[in-house]
Amino acid sequence: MSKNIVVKADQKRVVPVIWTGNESEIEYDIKLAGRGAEVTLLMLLFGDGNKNLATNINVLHDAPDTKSRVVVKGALNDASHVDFEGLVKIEPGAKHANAWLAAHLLLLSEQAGGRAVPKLEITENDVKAGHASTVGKVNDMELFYLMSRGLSKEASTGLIVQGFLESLLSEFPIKDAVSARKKLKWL
Amino acid sequence: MKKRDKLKISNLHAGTIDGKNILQGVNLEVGMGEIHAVMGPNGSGKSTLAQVLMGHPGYKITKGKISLNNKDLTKLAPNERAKEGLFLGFQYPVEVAGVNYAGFLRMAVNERTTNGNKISPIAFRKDLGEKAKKLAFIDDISIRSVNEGFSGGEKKKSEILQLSILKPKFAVLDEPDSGLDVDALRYIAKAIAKLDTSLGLILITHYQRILNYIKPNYVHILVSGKIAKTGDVKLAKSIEKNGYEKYIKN
Amino acid sequence: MQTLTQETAKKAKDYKFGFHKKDKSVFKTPKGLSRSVVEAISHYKNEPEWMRDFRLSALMTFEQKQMPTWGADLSTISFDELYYYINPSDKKFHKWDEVPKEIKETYDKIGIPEAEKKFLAGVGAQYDSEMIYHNLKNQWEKQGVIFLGMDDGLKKHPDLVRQYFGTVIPSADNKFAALNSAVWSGGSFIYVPKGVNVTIPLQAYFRINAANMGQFERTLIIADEGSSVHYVEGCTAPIYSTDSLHAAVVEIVVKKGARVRYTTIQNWSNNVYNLVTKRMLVDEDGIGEWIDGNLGSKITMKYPSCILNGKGAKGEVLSLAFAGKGQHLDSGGKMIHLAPYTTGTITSKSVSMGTGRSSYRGMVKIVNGARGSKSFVRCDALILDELSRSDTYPVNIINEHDVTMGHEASVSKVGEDQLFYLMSRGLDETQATSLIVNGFIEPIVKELPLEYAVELNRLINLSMEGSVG
Repeated sequence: MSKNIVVKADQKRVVPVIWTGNESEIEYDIKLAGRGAEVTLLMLLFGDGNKNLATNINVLHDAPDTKSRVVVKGALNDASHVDFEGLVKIEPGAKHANAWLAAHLLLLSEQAGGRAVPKLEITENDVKAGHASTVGKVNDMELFYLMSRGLSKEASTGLIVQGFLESLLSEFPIKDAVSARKKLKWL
Repeated sequence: MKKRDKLKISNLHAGTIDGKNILQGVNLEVGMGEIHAVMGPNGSGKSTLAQVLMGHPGYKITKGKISLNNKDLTKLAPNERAKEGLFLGFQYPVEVAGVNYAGFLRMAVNERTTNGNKISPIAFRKDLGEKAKKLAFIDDISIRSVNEGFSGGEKKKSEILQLSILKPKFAVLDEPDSGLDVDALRYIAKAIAKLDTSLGLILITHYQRILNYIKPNYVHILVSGKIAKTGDVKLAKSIEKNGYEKYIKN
Repeated sequence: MQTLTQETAKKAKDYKFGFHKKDKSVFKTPKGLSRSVVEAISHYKNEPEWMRDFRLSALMTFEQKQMPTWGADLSTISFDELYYYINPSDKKFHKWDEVPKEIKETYDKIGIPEAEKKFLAGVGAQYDSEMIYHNLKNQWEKQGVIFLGMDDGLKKHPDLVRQYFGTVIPSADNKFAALNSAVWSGGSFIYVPKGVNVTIPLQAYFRINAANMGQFERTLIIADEGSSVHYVEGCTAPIYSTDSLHAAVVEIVVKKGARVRYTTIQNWSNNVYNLVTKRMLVDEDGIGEWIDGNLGSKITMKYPSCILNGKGAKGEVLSLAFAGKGQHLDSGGKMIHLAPYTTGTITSKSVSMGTGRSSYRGMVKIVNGARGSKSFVRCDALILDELSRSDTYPVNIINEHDVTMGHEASVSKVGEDQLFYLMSRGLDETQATSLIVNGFIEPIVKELPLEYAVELNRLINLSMEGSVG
């Protein structure tokens, strides 16, 4: 699946994306083409079995006062794999651009894995850009805390994964959140 | 619950999983309704004791055992120990992002119901709301995430709140007073005092002040991973006056 | 380089060639690269047959390999136009007039003494470091430490060299490692015996002479179990080199429980293509640290790596890049976690100004089974003006779930608030910017030997003048 989005001056777009294994490729090419254009792309991934995803998210800041925020959160179980490549490009003249790219993957089983490549190409100095990425398993202390209250390991893990993805879901437009929750089994 | 229920810690040796020995043979027996204060200098192993009792993944027991009403807990997972009736009030309550406080606690309560009578979400929220109010929580705790964004005082109160809802037989409170100002301390202390009198309590504390509000039956001094001395409230007072020096040998 | 400065000032009048050559005939291979050129090099150096074969095989690999399709623009390198070997003692020095003006001015401004200037600019002969070198040499020899030029190392310890040469970076690793493997000359050979801690940093400076600032240096360091050593190479002052291609290889073996720190400050003149392959193989409980400062060259491509090959191995890369006018510095680091409980940290600070382009390129790879491993990458970039560029290309490949991996990057210009605050205390914009830039790179600078740190700060202040306001 491949999508091209052009955000015009002063437009604010929110792009919610949810993947539970139906596609194997998702690509977004987003251009912030006019002054004040803003985009928030929220990508929620849940993979199990042998489901693999290759995803490419490109954001181009081509005008002043533009803002982008891309947040990817994924929980991968069994032998599921995600290959994520993100590029934020800020062109000369895109003054006061503000760009943030975050990719966080939770690996729930031994065979799950991921590749994350969050790239930045900045050719305008009067900007703020950053990215962050984490990959790992469920936090030991969080697991211990919930289990110490009597919840089983599976139930505790489920709560933590749910909580992890929930913070992203809470930003989805309501309609999309509803259909997203339907797709995610436990909610 | 029988009157003779006991939490028994026998010759407990434990250390970190990468080999550092911390507990060097702790012996302690707590009966129902008893309050045992455990004090000690920094590095004595007080927090380790608390965490090892609950089954913290970063530690392993090398010798000895823990039993609750003759049920051996030593090899059980944390949730199984909880279901046997043990509770740990964390010194640093863990934040679990995005997990609803009420939702998780209700799940924990339902884990313990033996007769299939699960509490309904509405009834639970009511009970939670009332108990939270008594602890002077300002914001509606049921819509918040577990400990996320809680102030220091709120985190400590949260532990006591959970204790009052889960109703364990024995509880270990790891420095419930650390980092609190005088007023917050009094709140926590009052809340602890109001707990079910049949609860067996191990109260871990560095300073004597909380013992002004909660009278222990026994006071133990933990030094270098072992109990160096056991006494009563007078022992705590002497620590306040003279410090721990007397008990730190070598 | 403070030791150099002090000693040089004293011995300014006393020049001597530092190396003795038995055979004084002029030797220089013809232009271009071929089998016969490689054979001639090996023959001239009197190398054992295995090394000659190694070179020839590497040449074939070089010819077959493609140029990298990523990184800086290497299209103007003309392999046929280069000379691949010249006997160091025969290398002609250039005249002082030929040295670019900016370089001479820099020497003045950062206070390099006369004799040292000529040396660095390739105008003068080797200055006399024999005295200092000999005293330290005695200490090392007592401990059993071997510290020789790579050529000498091969002659005197052929078996030891053969055991490790090409094992950390095989010729086939990349095109420029293959090139180096075919025509290498110079560099350092170091062996530290078990349990020996070399307390004074080994300075590459003692081993080279001006004209021999190698195009194709090859360094091999072996730290045996439980040993530790710190190796320092390079110079903050600009080095004028007419050789346009520098393709070096540094291989380091860190055995169980050993620790190696390798510090480089590179400031090649802006005609140089600096393409370096550097890698440490770190065993159980070993520690490998790269401190990599990139100031000069027209193009640098360099990614110091650690292969964490044993349980509990630790790796660290501290990378500093300062890209000015016309420069493209493509640098970063790599951490490959092959064993459990390994820890890798990469910290990169880059500054771009005046059309400079600085790119962070890094890789973290954690294989299945490397449980309990931790990896942290932090790359921050400062772009000082509208003409410059900053890129970040991090690759994270994680195939083990029981790990902690975190990566953070930020790009910004100098904060207006900070600038305003400092200027409100009476500093002008240049001074304030200098302070801020120096503060930005401080976490890396504080790991450098003091004399480097001092000169580096001065150099940066110098770069700020004329670029700000």
